[in-house]
Amino acid sequence: MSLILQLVISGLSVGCLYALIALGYSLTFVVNGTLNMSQGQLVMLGGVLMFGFSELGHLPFLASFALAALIVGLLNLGIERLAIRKFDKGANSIEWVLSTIAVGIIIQDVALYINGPDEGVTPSPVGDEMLRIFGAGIYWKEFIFLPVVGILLILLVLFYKKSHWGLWLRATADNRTAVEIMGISSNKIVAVAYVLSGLLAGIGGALMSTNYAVSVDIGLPLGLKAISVAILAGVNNPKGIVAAGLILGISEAIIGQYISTAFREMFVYGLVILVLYWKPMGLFNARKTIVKV
Amino acid sequence: MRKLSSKKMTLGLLVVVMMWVLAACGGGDKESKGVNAPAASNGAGSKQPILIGMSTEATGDNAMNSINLYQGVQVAVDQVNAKGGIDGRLIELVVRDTEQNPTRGISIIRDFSQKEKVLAAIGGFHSTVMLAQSPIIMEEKFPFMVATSNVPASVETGMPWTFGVRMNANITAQYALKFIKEHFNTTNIAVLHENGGYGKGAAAAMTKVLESEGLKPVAVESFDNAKDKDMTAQVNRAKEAGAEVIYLFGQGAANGYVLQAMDKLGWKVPIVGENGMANKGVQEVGKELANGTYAIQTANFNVDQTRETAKVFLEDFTAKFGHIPTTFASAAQGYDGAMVIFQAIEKAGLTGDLAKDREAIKDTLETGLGSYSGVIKDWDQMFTAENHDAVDVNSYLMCVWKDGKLVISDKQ
Repeated sequence: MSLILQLVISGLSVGCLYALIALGYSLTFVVNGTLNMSQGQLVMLGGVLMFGFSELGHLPFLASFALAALIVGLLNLGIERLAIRKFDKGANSIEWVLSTIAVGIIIQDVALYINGPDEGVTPSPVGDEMLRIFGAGIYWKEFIFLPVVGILLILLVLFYKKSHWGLWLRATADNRTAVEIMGISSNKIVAVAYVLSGLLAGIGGALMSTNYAVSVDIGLPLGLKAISVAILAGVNNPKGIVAAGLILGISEAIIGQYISTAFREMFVYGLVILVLYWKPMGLFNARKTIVKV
Repeated sequence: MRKLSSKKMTLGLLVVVMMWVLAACGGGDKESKGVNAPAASNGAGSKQPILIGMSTEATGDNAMNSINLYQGVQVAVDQVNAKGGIDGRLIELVVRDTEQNPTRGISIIRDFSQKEKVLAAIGGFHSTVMLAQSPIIMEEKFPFMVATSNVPASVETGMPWTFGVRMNANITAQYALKFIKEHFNTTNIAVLHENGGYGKGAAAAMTKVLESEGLKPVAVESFDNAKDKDMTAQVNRAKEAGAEVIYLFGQGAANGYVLQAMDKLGWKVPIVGENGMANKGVQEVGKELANGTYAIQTANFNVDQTRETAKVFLEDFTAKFGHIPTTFASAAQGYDGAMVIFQAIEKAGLTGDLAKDREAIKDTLETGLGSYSGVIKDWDQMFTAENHDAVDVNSYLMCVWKDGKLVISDKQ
C-alpha cells in the first residue's frame, strides 16, 4: 500500500510540471490555433534564469522568481510578434510550426553560448526536508508544486471568467472576426495570451529548478511531454490539462514499477494513442465551448 | 512611406541581431579556418600547422565532461606549441560538435578525413556516437584516440585505427566487482543505467563479469537520462530484488534523481559509478545524499598532485581556464590522449604523404611509442597491436563524494 502511495505521490510532482507547461500551450492554442513549439525551451530559460539570478547573482528567491517569469513572459511577446503573427494565416496555416521550432533552437543555442552546459538546482526556500505520508516520502520542495499549480489554475480560470481581458480572450477564441467588428484588436488579445503563456513557462521553469537540475538541453523533451498532455486532455480545457498532467505523471511511475522501466515510455504513449482512438478530441475536451473554464 | 521605412529598419536590425547571434554561436565552435587539406600533408619543415581533429560535444546531458576533455586537449596543444610545435610546425585543432547525434558524428569523421585531411583525431565522448563513428574511422583509416567513451567495441579487436585512453567498461566492471566484493562483501549488485551506449555498455560489462563467476545482477533497470526525473520504480525494483550495492551508470542529475528515490523509499546501500557519478549534477540534485557515493576515476585534482606531469598539467589548466578541471578523468584522459598522439607524430616523422603518415602514426602507437609519462600514470608501452586500451585496472582511482567535493577514497 505504501508503495502504491509512493508511486502516486512521486508521479504527482512530475505530473504538476507537465501540467504547468501544457497550460502554456493551451493559452495560445485557444485564441488563434497556434502552439508555441518553443514552449519547452522557454521553460528551460525560466529555470536557467532562476538559477542564474538566485545562485550566481545572489538575488533573493522571490525576486529571482519574478524576474525569470517576467523575462520569459516578455520574450514570448516578442516571439508572438516575430514568429507567429506573420505566419498565422488562418486555420490551415502551419508556417508557425517551423518558425517557433526555429525560435526554440535559437533560444537554446544562445542560452548555451551564454550559460554553458552546466546543470544547476536552485535551493528551495522550503529546504530539503522530506514529508512522510503513511510512510511514503515526498520532498517539501516537490510537494509545494501541487498548491502552486492549483493556485495558478484558479487564477487562470478567474482571469478567463472575471476579467475583461479574459472575456476578450474567450471571445477571440470563439469568433475573431466578431471581436474585430466590436473594435477590439484581436492582435493585442493574442499578444496577451502569449505573454501569459510565457509567464507560465517562466514560472514552470523557475519552480522546476528548485528540485530538478536545469540545463540548456532540458527544454525539448519537456516540451514534447507537455504537448502530449495538452492533446490528451483536449487543448481547450485548463482543468482537464492539469488532471491529464497528473494522470500521465502517475501512470509513468506505476507502469515503470509493474510493467517495465525500459519500455515505460512506449506503454505510456501507447495508452495515449488508445485514449485518442476512444476520444479523438481528448479526454476532457468540451466540444460546445471554445474555452472550457 | 514612413511606415515602410521603419519596417525596413526593423527588419534590417533583426538581420543584424541574427547575424551577431550566429557569429557568436559560431565563435564557440572554434573551427579552424583557412588551413585545410594541403597543410597537413605538407612535408616536414614547412611552417604549415599540423591539423588534429577534435570530435567533442558542447550540448547534451553530460557536456561538462566533454568540455573538460576538450580543455585537457587544449592544454596539451598549448604545451607542445609553446615548445615550438613538432618539427617547427604548430598543432592546430579542428573542432567539431557532435551534438550527441550519431549521424552528425559520422559526417564529422568523413569531414576530418576527406575535407580537413587531419593527421589524427581525438574525442570519443558520447558512447552512442562513438559506436557509430568507429566503423567509419576504419573506412577512413586515420588514428583516432577515444578519450572517454566506455563502450569496449569501439576500440577492441577488429578496430585497428582506434586507440583508447578511456575507462573500458569491461575493465571497469572487473575493477568495480573486485572493489565491491572486497569492501562490501557482497555480489548482490543491481545495475541501474541510462539507456544509451554508455549505460548499456556498463550493464553488459557488469553482467559479463558476474557471469564469469557464475552469478548475475539481481536487477538491471534502465532510465532515459534526458527525460526521466522520477526513478522510484527503478529503485524500488532494485530494492525488492535484494540488491546490496547499486552499480549506477546514468549521467549527472539523473544519478541524483536515483539518490532522491532511494531517500524517499528509506533505502540506503553503497553506490558505485564512473564518470557519470563524478559530474556536478549528482551533487546539485542529491546534495548531502551524494556523500559517500563512489565514482571510479583515473585522476583526482582536489588533492595535491604527486607526479610531475600532473602538477604541470594542473598549473597550466588552472592558468588557462581560471579553475581546476570540473570533471577529473575526462580532463586527464583528454590531455594524455592528445599527448601520446603528438609523441607518436614526433616519433613517426612526417613524409607529406597523408595516407603513409597516418599509417606510420598508427604503427608507432602500437609498437614504437616508447615510454610516456602522463597525468594518469607512467607507461612503458601504452599499446600493442593486440591491445589498444591504455587504461587498465592499475590506472583506476576510486573517488568518493565528501561534503560536496570528490576526493580520493580511503577504500581502494
